[in-house]
Amino acid sequence: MPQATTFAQLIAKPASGKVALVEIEPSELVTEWTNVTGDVYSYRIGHRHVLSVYDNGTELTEVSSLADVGAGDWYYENAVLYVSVLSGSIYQRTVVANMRLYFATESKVFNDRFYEPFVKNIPDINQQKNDLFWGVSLYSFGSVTLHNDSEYFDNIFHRYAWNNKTITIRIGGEDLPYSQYQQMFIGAINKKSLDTDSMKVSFIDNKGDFDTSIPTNNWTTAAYPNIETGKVGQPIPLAYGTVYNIPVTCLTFAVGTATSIHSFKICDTSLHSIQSIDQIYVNGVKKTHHSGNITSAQFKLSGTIFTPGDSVTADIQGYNYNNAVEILKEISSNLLSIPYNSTNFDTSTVSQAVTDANDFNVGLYVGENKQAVDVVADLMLSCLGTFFVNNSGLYSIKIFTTDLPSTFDSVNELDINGPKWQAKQSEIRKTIRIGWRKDWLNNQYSYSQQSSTDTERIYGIKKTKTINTLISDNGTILTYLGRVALMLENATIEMKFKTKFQLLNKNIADRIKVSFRRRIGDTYFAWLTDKVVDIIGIKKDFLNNEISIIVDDLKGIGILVGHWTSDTPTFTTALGGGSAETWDQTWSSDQKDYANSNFGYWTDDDGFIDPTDAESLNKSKWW
Amino acid sequence: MSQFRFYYLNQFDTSTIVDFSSQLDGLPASNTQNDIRNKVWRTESGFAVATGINSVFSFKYTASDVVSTYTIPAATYTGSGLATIIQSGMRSVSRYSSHTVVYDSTVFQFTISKGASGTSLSLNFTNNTATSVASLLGFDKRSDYTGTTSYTSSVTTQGNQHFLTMSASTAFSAQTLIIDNHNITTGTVMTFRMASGSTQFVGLTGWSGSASASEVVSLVGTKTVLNFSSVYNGKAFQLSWSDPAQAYSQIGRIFLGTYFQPEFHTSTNEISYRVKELGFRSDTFQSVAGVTFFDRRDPVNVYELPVDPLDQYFNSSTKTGFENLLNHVKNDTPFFISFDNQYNTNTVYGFFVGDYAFERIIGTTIFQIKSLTFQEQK
Repeated sequence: MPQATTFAQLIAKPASGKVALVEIEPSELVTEWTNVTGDVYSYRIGHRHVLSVYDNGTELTEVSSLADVGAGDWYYENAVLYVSVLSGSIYQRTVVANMRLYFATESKVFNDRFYEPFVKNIPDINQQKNDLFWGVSLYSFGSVTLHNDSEYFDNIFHRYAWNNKTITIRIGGEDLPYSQYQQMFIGAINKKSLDTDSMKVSFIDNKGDFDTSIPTNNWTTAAYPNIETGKVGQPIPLAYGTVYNIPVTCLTFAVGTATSIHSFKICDTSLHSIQSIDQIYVNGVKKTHHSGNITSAQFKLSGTIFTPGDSVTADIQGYNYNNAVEILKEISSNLLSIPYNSTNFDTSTVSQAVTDANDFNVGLYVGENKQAVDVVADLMLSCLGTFFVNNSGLYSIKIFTTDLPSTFDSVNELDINGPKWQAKQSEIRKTIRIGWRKDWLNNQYSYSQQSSTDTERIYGIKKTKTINTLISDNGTILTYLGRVALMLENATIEMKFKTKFQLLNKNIADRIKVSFRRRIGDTYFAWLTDKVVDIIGIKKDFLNNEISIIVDDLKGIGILVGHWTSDTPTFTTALGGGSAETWDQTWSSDQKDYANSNFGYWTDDDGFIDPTDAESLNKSKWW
Repeated sequence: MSQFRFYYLNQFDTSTIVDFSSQLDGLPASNTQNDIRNKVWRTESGFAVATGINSVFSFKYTASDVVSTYTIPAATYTGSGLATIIQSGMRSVSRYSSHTVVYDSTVFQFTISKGASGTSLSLNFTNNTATSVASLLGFDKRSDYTGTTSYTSSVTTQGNQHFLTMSASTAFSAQTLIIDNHNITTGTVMTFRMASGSTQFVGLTGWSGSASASEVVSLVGTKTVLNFSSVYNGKAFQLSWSDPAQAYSQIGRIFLGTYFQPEFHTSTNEISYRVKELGFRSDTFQSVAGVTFFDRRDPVNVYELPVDPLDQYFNSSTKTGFENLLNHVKNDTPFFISFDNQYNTNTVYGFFVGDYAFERIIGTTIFQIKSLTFQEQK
């Protein structure tokens, strides 16, 4: 059998030799210089791939020959690094050489670089989230163990800087060129250890960047000399979208009764203005303000209605962001220094997520220091979104919708092993209460709720679930409520199984089709024939080349909602082919399930697709 | 017929690289001294010019003038780049500015022409054979070219003329040269030279002082084993070759030294050994339907080698030889073994596996080793 030359061929071949590549980018602070001539110095750095050289934090320019090395240049040849610093004595400068080391599970040569066959162990890459319906994929982390029997790391373990340096894992094999190797993980090293047999580096994925506290600006007396002493050092709040009853800060507190006009600031406006100041409250009572300034988010109150010490709050239209995904992008770019671009984000997926999140208007107020990742979790909850790092190390977001991709990867009993199914009945609820229009001062919500009589009748469940969101308006809360209620009124079926690398490219929130039967001669399970499922957890074991995967049946609503389809929906060959465009009560139950899972049909006022077919009741609900 | 030759005292590994034609930063010449066979030395692609090796271009621009020479600056050039610099050099050393040198990258040939104003042109490579650039240009460095005003390479060339010069701290004997895991075209002639010091080498063919040893081997396949016509002695050696059909050369492992052949393991005796393939190294995963997926792993060959009874009175050299061999390689040093006289095809690179005891047979002077397990090293 010919060797695979593309990644698709590799993962499709039942017998293929897999190879994992591990690329690490440590640095070395160079101090042992030898003068070559003039201001050009050399250091025997060894046979290394030098990526860049920095002098006191400024990147130097690589030149193509030793003769070309001038001030601010570097050159590498035959294991020797040549540098001329920008100015002054090289011994007084901090010169750092950044390198890339190449390792693999077997010896390989790519791009004229030898990959040392030192990889002993590669971690599993995990994507999963705590909540069934939304959330943040947990940090992927692990460690790579490299052979040190050849003493390769004995000295460079100490000499090189490894912490916070990039590590990349790629998977391929056989005759694949480097370009066909798929990047599976990129992260930063946070720990190293060494013994005579091995060197181990531990790392964490890029979501560590979000483990940063926001807001970032604090109240100071330098900028606000008359604020209350207790405010100094506290964060200046952030306010996105429509927010209600948010505390404001008196800028003239220290002046006290010496002034009859008190000024107030609502939130940080160093990056954005607010849109409007809708209502001011003093001790919970509506009051009229004046001199409102949306650029500085400030207003004034007369001393007749305000006395220092009174509680003042406001309803405002904050920064012009009411889309949860747009807020996340803004926080990332402007507060976390993670620009929203193709270097950091899967921009096409996130762009789609922005569109999908438009169904929900949110308002976010951050008045105290909070980890950005926790803020992201609240945003994702409020738009049924999942935030995760994809295979390429890019931040990505997917909003739960019932839209189906045009093509699917499919797996069946030929591909999978150890299937287990579990009905997540603990999530079933009769009544769903969604909190919205948050009163930020009092941490209270307005609630909308929806109950399902059928849930009680079918399951005997009367429980209620309350979900507090950032949703700020009545229109979108009804949409959110309807969707979540639909998801929680039925059991979700989870399926766990293992497969080989057929699903290596998949991420959490991707959708695939699953079919299953016990034996090849059997018919497929009626409810598991080309079943569209959501990936809610995926673990990639690169050492054993196995994928452990958890999927669910679109939260139990897969066959209940209508899906937008092409103009000519058809059945698969296994189901007899033919048109599925018009509901036909004579279809088999398998065909009906398939049609419900993949297509959408208009219903009458009673919810029938076909009023003559009882099986078509409530099988194409509006999402 | 079987015979064993153990090549384990590798003078190449213990020598120092003095000079080489070119190397890639990530695949340097020193990789040939690394135990990993697949960790290769790869030369740069193109035309590598090294001072004192292959940098001299000799020609006459009139029939009556003496031979002029232009020394090409050391570098690795593209074909057109080398043509340009030679053209520039010819014009600078001659009275004429019309000489042209062109490299045709479709047919891989140089054409050197007189141009309008020169009276004649000849290529006088024999003037500086040792350091001539002729071979790099696709000409025969042992020949002069006269009679026309334009000369085209005799053979196609993509450059790829290379050399490696090594020096040892003490003199040693060399009986066998092994070039393993190479990509050099079958039939390419590699020249091996040995001398008392590396300074004796002048270019790729010349000597300074008395000549020492020189032998040629026609490379085959991906592994070539050359047993010299006689044992050579010296401290420095040089390999050089020209493979104009390839863009670059690549070599994995090099062995130079003598071999140990047990006394009765000569070509006239039959020695049996056993080889098995460790093929069951692949992991498996079986699906519900019984489809099995494999993580295929390359098989490795494992050899069980019988060892003669070791009796210093019966075959002292064999006994000593095995003792020295095992003491040197233990189970951590890969080396080469030839299993029969089909050296190129049946010489294997590997290492001993396991622990060996010299068992004394009571009442005799005989020590025995039941067998040696030798496993391939990739």
